[in-house]
Amino acid sequence: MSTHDLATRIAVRTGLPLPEVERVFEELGLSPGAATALPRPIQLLSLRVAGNRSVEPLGRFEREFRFDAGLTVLAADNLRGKTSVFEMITWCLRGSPRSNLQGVVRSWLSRLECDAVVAGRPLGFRLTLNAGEMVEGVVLSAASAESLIGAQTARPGSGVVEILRAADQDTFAARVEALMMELLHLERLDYVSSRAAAGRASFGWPAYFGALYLPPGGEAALLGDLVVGGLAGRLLQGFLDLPGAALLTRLKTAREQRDEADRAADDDAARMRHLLESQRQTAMRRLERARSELAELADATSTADILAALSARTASAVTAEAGLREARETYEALRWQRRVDEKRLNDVLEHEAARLLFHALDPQVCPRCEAPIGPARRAAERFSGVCAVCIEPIDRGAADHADTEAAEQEARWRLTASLDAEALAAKHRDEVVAYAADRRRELADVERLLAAAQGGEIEDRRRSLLNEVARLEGTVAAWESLPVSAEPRADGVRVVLDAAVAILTDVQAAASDDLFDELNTDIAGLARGFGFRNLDHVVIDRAGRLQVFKTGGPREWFRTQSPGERLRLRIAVVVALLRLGHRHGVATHPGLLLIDSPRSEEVQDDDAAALLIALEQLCAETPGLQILVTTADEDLVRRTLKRSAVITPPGPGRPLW
Amino acid sequence: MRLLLIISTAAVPMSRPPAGDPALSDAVAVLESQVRLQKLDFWVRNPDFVANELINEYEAGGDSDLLELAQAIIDSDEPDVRRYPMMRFLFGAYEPLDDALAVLRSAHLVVRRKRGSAGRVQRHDYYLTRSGSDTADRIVRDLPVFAYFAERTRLVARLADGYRGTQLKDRQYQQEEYRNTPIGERIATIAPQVRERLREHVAPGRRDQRPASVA
Repeated sequence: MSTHDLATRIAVRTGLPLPEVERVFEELGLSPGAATALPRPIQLLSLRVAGNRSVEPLGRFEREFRFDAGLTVLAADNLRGKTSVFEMITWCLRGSPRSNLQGVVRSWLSRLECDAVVAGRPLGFRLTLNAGEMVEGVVLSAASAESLIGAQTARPGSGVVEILRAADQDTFAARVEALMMELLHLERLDYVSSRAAAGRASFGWPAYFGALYLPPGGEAALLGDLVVGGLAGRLLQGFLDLPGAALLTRLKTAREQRDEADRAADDDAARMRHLLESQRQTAMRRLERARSELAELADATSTADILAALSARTASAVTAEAGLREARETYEALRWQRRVDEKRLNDVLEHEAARLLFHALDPQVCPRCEAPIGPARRAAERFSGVCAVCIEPIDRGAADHADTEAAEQEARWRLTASLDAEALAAKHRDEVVAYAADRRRELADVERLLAAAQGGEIEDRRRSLLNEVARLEGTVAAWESLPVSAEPRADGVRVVLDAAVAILTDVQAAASDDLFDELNTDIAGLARGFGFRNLDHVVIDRAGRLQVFKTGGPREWFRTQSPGERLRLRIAVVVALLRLGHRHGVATHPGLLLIDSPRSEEVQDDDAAALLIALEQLCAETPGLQILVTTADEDLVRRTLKRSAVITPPGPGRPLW
Repeated sequence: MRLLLIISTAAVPMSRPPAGDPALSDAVAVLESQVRLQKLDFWVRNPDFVANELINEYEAGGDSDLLELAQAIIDSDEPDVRRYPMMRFLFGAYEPLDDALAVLRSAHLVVRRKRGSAGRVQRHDYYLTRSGSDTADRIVRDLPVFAYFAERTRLVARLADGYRGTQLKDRQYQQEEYRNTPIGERIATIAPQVRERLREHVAPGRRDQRPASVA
């Protein structure tokens, strides 16, 4: 679907005028070509290897292999370095060596130079090695593949520039990965992992490379060289860009960026609203204070009024002070009376107690002459009412006792009354103290007012307040009219983006069903062409699971097939992806395949021959497909292939490099 | 009653009664000199002078409790309610004690005896009899109306401990108002002056300062 078609469908869906939709596309930088597939081909050009061999044939070696488009077969006896060629290509293009490259072989190498065209860009990978470890890694970029030939370092004059350099293996691998992912428009493949701290992990370029360098037939993976994390399915989807996928990605990204920008703008607006509201509230409070103070000043308009108030308050204060003096004097008088009454009660009580005590004691002697008072005198007092001391008659009757009780009672009443009076006087005095203090304050206030009025301060303050009120009223009004809105926005760009994403998602969902049908047909046809004769049909799903249906047989799974059958199916899947990409103009597999020793998976020579012939035929039919195959059977190759390059050792029994 | 409590509290116990006087055959303690008795009575009857003496004791190196007690006395109504002013006589505070003593003597609680020969300086001693001591104990134990006097006589006896009568008179004379009171007039209260002394002692930063002369 072109962007014009998409714009038209958006216009119909949203009701917006077509020019408006196209203007949005233009604003978003969506050119008409944006919907076309992103190119991601890799074409291998050459590999140069140099070093020093520690086994026969001993000594230094140096060899360069050149690779053309189509099928190239590396034919040599076993243990003659065929697989190592693939591993050295892998080290360069993947950025890191696989464990398959034997340690002793690694130790021989001193230099690897690999040229390739990646997504249309000629690149030269230059690795310097020592004792099996990389000590320097450089990637050169040139305008043309020819410029790279023989280039060891950057040659500005020839358009050869250095785009990557690393001094250790890990850094080189990380930088090559970043470079290849960017050039090939690949995304990291997220997957759920219970081993990762975040619960998720992701595959990068080495995982994608596993779909270029096919594993041996006996491996369980359909696509790629790992069987974890649903990688096959993710690679399948990664290599099978659906129609408009790139455009959809860009639209979604644009929408997310707008969402993010909108959120940031909303946050800013909210902060601004809060700030303005806070400032408005402050201004309101200041305005209220200024108005209130102005109203107070208006109450005391003239000096004459102030003088009248001064006179009235002075009179009040003087009256209050007089009342206070009187209250204090009253209190002191009542306090003194209470003490007198208290003392009187004490006296009565003590006197009576003493009287009772001493009267209970019998007189012993005359207090004057100390003559003893005998029992007869004491008996006479007790029974005849004659004083034992002076012999006078005495009255010890009830009248005395009644008088004493009455005196005590009266003293108690007096004390109770004087206590109440004292408390009342104290309360009254405290009230008058507070009242007088208030009157003094009022008098002081009006005295200050008078002083201010006489100094012209009131008029100055009134003018100042009038100005302030006017200014604050203007400020508050201005804030209230500010067009700050918390309403959600609904702009044309957003409407167009939403509609475009929805339409493309629908289109992809419909297209992917058709694409998978085509893919299944292609895989089955290709695999039969590779010698999988009794294969009826296959069904591959988005998770990369491949169901195999043999003629008249039940459903089987990829992993239960024989190694040879698995190899055929694996190649068939990759080639089917490539063909599908070409037919529909969608980005897909890079088109480079490294297949190590398919012969080892074979039992019958005929089968091996059939596979080679099929691959040669496939390369001829499929633009951009480059397949490298290794085999130990040079005779078979020579017999079978007519149009393919065959690379062999320099002499019989010699190593390939 | 007040005199009985003073004598019973301040009298010095005797191991045996004086010989040759049948009236003293059951005497258990003696308070020597009328001057001493008068001075003790003066303190009991004048709480403001007691508070003043407590401040003196504190300034002479006594415990801070003395100051707190003086403050409590002067802040209460005691100086007014419990004040029984005395006349100034030739030897200081004086009030005829005969009436009160006659009651004590008649009941054989206290016996007064003169010492010294005629024409020479004479001194009265006050003997507390066994029944006088028992009665005083009964008063303290059974008559709460006299609790104030019981407590105050104990305090005054403690203050006067070790001083003879003339020495006590000298200490009381130290007070201007006491010394300047015309003979035959009532001795005025010194409560305002005592309050001022207390204010100086409890003012911030001065609590622990005492006059340099006694420091």
